[in-house]
Amino acid sequence: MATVVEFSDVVYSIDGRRLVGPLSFTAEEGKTLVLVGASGSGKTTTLRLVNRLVEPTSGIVLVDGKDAKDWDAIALRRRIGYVIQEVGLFPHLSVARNIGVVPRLMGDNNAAVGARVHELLELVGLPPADFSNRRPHELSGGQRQRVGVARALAADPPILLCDEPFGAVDPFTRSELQKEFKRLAEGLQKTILFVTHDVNEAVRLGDRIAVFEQGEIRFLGSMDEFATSTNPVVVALRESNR
Amino acid sequence: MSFFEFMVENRTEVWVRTGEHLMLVGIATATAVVIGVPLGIFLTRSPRLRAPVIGLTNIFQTIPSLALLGFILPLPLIGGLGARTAIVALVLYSLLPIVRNTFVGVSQVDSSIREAAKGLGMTSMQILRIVELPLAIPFILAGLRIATVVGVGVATIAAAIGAGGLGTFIFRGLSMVNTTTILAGAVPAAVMALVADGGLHLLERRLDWKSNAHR
Repeated sequence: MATVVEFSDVVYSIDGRRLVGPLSFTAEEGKTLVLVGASGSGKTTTLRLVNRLVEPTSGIVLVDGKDAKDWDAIALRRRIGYVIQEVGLFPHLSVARNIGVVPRLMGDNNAAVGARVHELLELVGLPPADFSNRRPHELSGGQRQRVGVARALAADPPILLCDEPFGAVDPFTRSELQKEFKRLAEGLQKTILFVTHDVNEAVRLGDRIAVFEQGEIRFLGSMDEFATSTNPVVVALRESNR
Repeated sequence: MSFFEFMVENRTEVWVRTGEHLMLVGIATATAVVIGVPLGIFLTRSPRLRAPVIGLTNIFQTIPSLALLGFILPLPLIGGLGARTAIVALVLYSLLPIVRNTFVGVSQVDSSIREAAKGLGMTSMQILRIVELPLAIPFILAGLRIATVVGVGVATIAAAIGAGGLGTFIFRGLSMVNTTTILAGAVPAAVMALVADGGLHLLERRLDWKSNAHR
């Protein structure tokens, strides 16, 4: 199985204060790696190192076998879908425009963009006829997240970064979204890095799990290994989740 | 002679002065937009320069307009008697609201929106064009409105240095102690300010993305 994202000895510091690292791990093609940990444990920064929203202080981040630094940042980000908790939809643009923004920038014609938007809206369970022309403020929190996911998938990126995408929605919507996300992830065969502080969510969505504490990975393994590990950090997490 | 009789009798000059006034304000405001909007955007990229630049434009606003004309008058190239000096002074006055509102308009864009745009692989020019500027338009137009209304008023002083405009009636009336002549300048200037205010307000509402007029 191919390694799509690889961190080797990656450290990220600000003003000499180490926020993350040293980190070494891999994300495998078509699999979901969940990064779990308390807020401030470095999960989000780790994601942002992948699409070069921040640059490592030392160490190397490889994306598709190539040092992220050698990627053109714009080209790299267009290969990587990015979904964040606040969604960040453009409030002045319709749902269809929001989703189509990157394909349009990449020069696709109107018809192609329209077809792609239609397809994506159906994929994330929003009937295009009802939703295409709505503005973000006319959507519920869960619907906004769906649009966010559709927008991230628009350019068909092989990699998807998700930063607590379901963190701000109610528990019912949340478990609904998790179920659909799981179905989507299995169908699309994307390499996914998924950040959450919710162990339940991590167990539901991940193929593998990395436990973060104070900027470092304390445990990295498959879900089975996570379930049986005697690593005290893992045990504490499992306990907290009972 | 009543105000209306005066206006009818001098209608040719009233129109000419109104035209001059429009030219002064129009050229000055357009110039201020051409300088001020890019400057405001630039300040969002260089936060360190924000305080000094906004401070400087603030200082221009605090100089009494008559004194500002006096300061510019002796300067080479931009000074001298006539419209040019007046336009330079008006540009300096209009700069503050336009620069500040552009800065505020672009800065108020939610950081999560900017982060998402960047994460999607937009270049900073694309983020500016597709995301930041459209969201800043209501702010920029509000600044333009303030600049225009203030400009219409300040431009009446330009007659003091021979720049023409409706101020010509006002200064003439003052020297003759003739209220009617003063009104012949003041009333059209007030009407012009009101029309500019109303018109730009309408434009502001039309271009505001919060209205559903366009999608």
